[in-house]
Amino acid sequence: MRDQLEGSRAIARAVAACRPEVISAYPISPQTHIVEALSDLVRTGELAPCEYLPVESEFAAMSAAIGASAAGARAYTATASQGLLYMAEALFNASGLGLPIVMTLANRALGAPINIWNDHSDSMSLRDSGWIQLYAESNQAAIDLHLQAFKLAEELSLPVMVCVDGYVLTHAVEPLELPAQEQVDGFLPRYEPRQVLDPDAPVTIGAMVGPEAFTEVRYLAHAKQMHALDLVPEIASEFAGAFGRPSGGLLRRYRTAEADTIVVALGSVLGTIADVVDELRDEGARIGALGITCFRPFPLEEIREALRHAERVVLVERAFAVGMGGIVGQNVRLALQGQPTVVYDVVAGLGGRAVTTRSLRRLFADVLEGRLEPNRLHFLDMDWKLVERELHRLQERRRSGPHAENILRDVGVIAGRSH
Amino acid sequence: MFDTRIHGRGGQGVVTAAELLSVAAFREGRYALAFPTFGSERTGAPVTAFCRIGERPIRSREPIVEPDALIVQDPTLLQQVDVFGGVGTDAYVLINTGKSLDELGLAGYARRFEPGRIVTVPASELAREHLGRPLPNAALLGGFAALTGVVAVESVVEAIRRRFAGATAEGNVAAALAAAAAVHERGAVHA
Amino acid sequence: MAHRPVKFFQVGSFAAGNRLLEEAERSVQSDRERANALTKGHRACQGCGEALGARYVLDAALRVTGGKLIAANATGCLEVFSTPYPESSWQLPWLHSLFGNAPAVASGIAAALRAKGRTDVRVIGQGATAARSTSASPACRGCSSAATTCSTSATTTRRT
Repeated sequence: MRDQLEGSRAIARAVAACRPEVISAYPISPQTHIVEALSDLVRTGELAPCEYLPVESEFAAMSAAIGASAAGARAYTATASQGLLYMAEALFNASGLGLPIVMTLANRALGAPINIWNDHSDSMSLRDSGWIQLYAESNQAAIDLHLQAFKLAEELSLPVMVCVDGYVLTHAVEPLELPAQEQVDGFLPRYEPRQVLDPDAPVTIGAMVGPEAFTEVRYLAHAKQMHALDLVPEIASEFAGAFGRPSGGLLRRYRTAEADTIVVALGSVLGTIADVVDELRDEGARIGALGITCFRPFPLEEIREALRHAERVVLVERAFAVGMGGIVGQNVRLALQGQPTVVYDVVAGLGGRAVTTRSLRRLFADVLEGRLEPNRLHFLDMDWKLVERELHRLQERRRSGPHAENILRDVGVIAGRSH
Repeated sequence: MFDTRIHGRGGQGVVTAAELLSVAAFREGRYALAFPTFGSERTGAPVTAFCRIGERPIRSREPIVEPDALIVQDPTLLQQVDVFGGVGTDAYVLINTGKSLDELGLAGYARRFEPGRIVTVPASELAREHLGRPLPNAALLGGFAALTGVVAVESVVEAIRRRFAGATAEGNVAAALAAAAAVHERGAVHA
Repeated sequence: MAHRPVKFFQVGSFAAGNRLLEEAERSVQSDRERANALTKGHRACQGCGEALGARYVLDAALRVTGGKLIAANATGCLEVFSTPYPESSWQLPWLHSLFGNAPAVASGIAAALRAKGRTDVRVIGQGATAARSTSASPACRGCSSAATTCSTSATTTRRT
């Protein structure tokens, strides 16, 4: 059914249609509307049988999901930002144990400085936690990816994180196609666990494994993730057959045919990028975009193939590794090994800074006209004056003070001291 | 594409207004994307929300910097926030106030606009009268529909009824219709 | 089972030996109906209080639940010595997750059982924060005081 809906509420309805049996969550902006809506559906009995556990922390949320999943229930949780870090230890545990938990991550920046707005620092910081990571480029994709996530997780017995840009998607109201319950029931079978805590057939889950087999058990996790590279497209095509619209998959190409310049990005910024690509195409530029939907496992071969004919690749990244550079860029470079492709790393939209059509146009024009230096880290819309002033302060005196406060005073958000 | 930006304060239903406007457009079979920008503050803090309306699916998620229409839910923001940022002289502007543009100190600024594009309506008073509470958002949407013709007043009424129930719905509907009538009276009516 | 004080005999021939004693003299270990939740062969130190404590608690819990019991264990000595790869001493369904989360894990298991209508099964979770200090504790050989904190603080999770 097509309706004008808020992203969060729509995601909640999609998750509910997947009939989770246990939901344990701790509210945090911008995830709150999702779990609020789900708790409401449990309260009213629309989602039943389902136990909603309002736990005391994100660590407990993931821990309860671990217990529920091991006991054979379809388990779901959602979080963002600091909440994800707070459950970090349990994330590795869930994936190590091979429990098919599905989690929505409403992407938000990590502090310090504390910031509630959207970027990908949170999910990127835990990209190697053993979870499959899917990134939604729109709210429709977010809905569809959740349906596929449960199927994928349970096929593989691995947890899946569906990353949805906080506010930009979670709080946007737009026309969305919600799947009918019968459709979802036909697509997503009952959860048949590979391992379950059952008094009638007792098993030990979470045994200690020493050097004699630790490598082998870790390899199995890798093998399962590699298997996902086959399963993700299979499930996507099954989804398209069942629901009549393409969604999911490893990658999404946008006008990449005969493109000599390809912009690579994850998440909601792809919508704005597509608009700019259209404008530039109209002006004769051979530019396209590649969206990475599945970031873990990383589809190395598929990305190599998708970028094979590109002379220039521009990474637009919503996070970066301090002291290193672009994160997606490192991965994409691996896919381009041995190719003469010129790669540009551009960090954009950190902590909720809007990625605008105007800035993207300027950036792509700089790339197309050879004005941007390749192989070094660029920052879209950076206020270099502010940075230089603070760097100068650092040189000037020992007790230069806290960066955040200094910079806020420079931009006039807080008043200067009288002394 | 028709881009609307709404300025108000936390608690005034700014986000809801953008959502209602998008629902009104959706009911007319068009595409609409409504989204807010928040501070981390709560009640009383300046809030901005956006609504893009178009005839094709809307992909861009960037905030609206050059709006085709502006709704100002709280005139005290005029001194605090750059509400007119990016507003061209052919844009529509609807301000919630019982005062005249002259009293707001905007008479000179308003003269730069095409005639009938910048209008005031006492939406909070209308809401107090019809709804019993000074929540101006739904009333302003009625006025907005009358001013711009981007959506029909009837669609706004439908959107209000979809979102609210009972006396709240009817109070808001009455306020929206009254605001639409007030805008009509000012002669600022979309052809 | 009638109340019987726990007795620790040194019989020199494993616990079965004291089944030759008079009924009143026998230890709990020799009880023919003992559930043996944590069975022999694990790697606890001789005289480990935690192993005994855990087994008594779990045997009693198994008895009252008619064997319908699931255990959630915190990281610590008990988890380590009871599951040396590729063996397990646990005769009941058992899950070990992390140092500090056994109660939350147990809550999750209980919620799953409720959702599935398995009202006959109960969950036992280990006191968690105590396990963190225990595992880091240098106490080991024959120590009972450090280790029992873990298992004797075990709590059953409410079932509705």
